[in-house]
Amino acid sequence: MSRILVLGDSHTGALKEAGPLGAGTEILWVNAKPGRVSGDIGAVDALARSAELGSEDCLVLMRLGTLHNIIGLLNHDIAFALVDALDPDETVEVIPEAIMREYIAEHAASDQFLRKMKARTRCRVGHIMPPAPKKTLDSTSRAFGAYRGQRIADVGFSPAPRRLALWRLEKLVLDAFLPTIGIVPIAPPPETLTGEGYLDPAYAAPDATHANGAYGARLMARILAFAAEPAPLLRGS
Amino acid sequence: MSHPYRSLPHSAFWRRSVARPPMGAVDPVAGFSLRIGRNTRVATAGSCFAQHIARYLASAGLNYHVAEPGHPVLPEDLRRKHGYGTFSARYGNIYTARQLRQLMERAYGSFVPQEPAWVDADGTVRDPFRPGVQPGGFISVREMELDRAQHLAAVRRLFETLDVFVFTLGLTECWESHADGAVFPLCPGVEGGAFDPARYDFRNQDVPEVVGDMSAFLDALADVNPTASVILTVSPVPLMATARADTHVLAATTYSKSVLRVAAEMLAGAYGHVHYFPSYEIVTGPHAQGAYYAPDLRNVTEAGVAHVMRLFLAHAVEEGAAQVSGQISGQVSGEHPLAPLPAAEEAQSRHEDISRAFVEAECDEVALDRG
Repeated sequence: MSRILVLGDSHTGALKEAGPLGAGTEILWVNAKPGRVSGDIGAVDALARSAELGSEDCLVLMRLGTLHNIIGLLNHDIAFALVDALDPDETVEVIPEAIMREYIAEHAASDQFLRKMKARTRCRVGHIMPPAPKKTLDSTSRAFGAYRGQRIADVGFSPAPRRLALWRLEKLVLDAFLPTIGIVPIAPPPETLTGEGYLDPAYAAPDATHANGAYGARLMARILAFAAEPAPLLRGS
Repeated sequence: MSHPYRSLPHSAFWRRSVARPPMGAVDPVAGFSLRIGRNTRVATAGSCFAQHIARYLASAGLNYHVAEPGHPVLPEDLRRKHGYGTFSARYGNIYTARQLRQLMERAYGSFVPQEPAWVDADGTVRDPFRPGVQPGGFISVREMELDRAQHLAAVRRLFETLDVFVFTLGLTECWESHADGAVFPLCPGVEGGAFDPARYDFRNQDVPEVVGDMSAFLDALADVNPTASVILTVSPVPLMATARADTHVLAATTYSKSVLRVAAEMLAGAYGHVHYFPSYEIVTGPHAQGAYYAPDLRNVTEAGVAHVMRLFLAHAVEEGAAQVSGQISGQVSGEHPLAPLPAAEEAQSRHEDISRAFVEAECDEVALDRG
C-alpha cells in the first residue's frame, strides 16, 4: 500500500483537525528552527522520513507561501499596496508588482530545505501553500495576540484587499516556481473561497492566518486526489 | 623681464601640471570653493557617469541624499536592482539639460507631456521618460502612472531638501515629441515605444539651448530651495551612437562634449552657487593617455573613476568629513596621495570588469547598439 506523508508548518494543523486519517497517511509539523518548542519533528528527521518513501508513495510539503503574511498581514509604518488592491482615493505607497514578484520568487528559490526534501525522496512531491486571507479580521479581538513579535492590537491588520493581492501574487509565483524544481503545486480547494477570493469564514480557524478542520478535510480530498492520480486540474489550477 | 605668467601657479603651466607629474598625480581642480560637510545632503543626477559619483559619495560615508529609496519592506539589494538609490530619485539616466529642465517642470506641474504610456508587446508598460527604470515593466498604465506620481513627489522632496546637487551633463543629442517638445532619455522604439517620424523629432542642442535649459532649471531650483548649491560635471563617456548619419560618432562626441563643457563654464561663471568640477578633464586628458578607458574605449575604468573621486573628496569635501576607507583610502593615504598604489593597479583589471558591468547594467544608452 502506498503511503502519503505530509510534512509542513503550522498549517498542518487544519489537516490534523480534519478527522481520522486513512491508513498509510501521516501528517507532521516540521519545525526546523534550532531549540524548537513546537512541531512534531526537526529538519534532520524530516529529511530522513522523506528519504524512506518509495516511488509509489507521495510526499506533500507545506512550507512556502507565508511571505504574504510576513510582509503584509499587519500594517506597516509606511503603508503600501499592490496596485490592484488600491482604492481610487487611497494615497498609500504603491509597490510595483514586478518588484514584489521578484522578491517572492527570490525568497522561494532560496529555500534550500525544500530542495533537499525533494532531492532525498524518490516519490512524487506536491506542495500546498497557506489558505487565502480572511476578509474580516478584528484587530481589537482578544483572540489575536501578536504576530512575529508585533502586538496586533498596536499595529492592526492591513486592509483585506491588500492582503488578498499579496496572497494571489505569491500563489502565482509559487505555481510558476515549484514545477521548475519538480514539485507539483496543489491548489487550495476552490469551494473554500468566497466569490471575492477570500477564505470563506466557514473554513477559518479563530486566528489571523490559519484554516480549520473543515478546510483540512477539503484539503485532504485534494491530497488524496493528487496521490491517486495527479490530474492536470490539480496542478496549480 | 616681468610678465603676467611669472606670477601664475604651477597649475597654469602644461609642462609642470600635466606633462611632468605621474598620471595619477595630475590634479586639474583649481579654484573650487564649495565644501561638502559630513551632514551636507548631496544629491546626484545625470548620465551614466553620475552613477559612479553616487556610489563613491555613499561609500565615503557622506550624506548621500536619496529621496526615493523604495519601500523598506523590500530587501535593499532588490531595491537597488530596481533602480532605487542608483540616483537620488528613481529618474534613471538624465542625459540632457532639456531632460533635467522638464523633470523639474513635470515635478511641479508646469509641464504635462502628452506622450502616452509605452505598452510593450507582452502588455507590460513603460514610462516614456524612464523607459528602463522598472525591470519587468509595469503591469498596467495605472500602475505606471501611480509610480510616476510617487516619483515626481520624491523629486519635489529632493529638490526642496538637498544642499548640494551634483549633475553630470552627458549628451546634447535627444529625441523630442513633435506635439509638445517633451524629450526622452532614449529614442522611441529603442527600449520601448514605437518610432514614428511624424511624431518624434531629433534635436541636437547647442550652447545657447543648454545654457537656457540649465538656467531655467537653476532658477526653478532656487525658487524652491534658495540655499542649494550645484556642482556641474561633464561625463567623459563618449556617445554610444549618434543619430546624425552625416557625422562620425567621434566628431559627434567631440561636438556634444564641447557644447556641454562650454555651457558648464558659462553657468559656473554666471551663477555664484554653481561650480564646475573637471571630471571630464581628469579622465580624457592626455596625461591619462587613454588608460582611463576600458577596452571598449567608452566605459571609464575603476582607476579613472577613483582618480576623479579622489580629487572630488580632496577638493570638494571638508577635511575629515569623508570616511576614507576601502578603495578610496588606499589611494588617498599613500605616500604620493594622488598616485595609484600597487594594490590598486593589481586590482585594476578586476575593477575594470566591475566598472564595465556597472555602467552597462545601468546605462540606457547602451540599448542603441545592441545586437
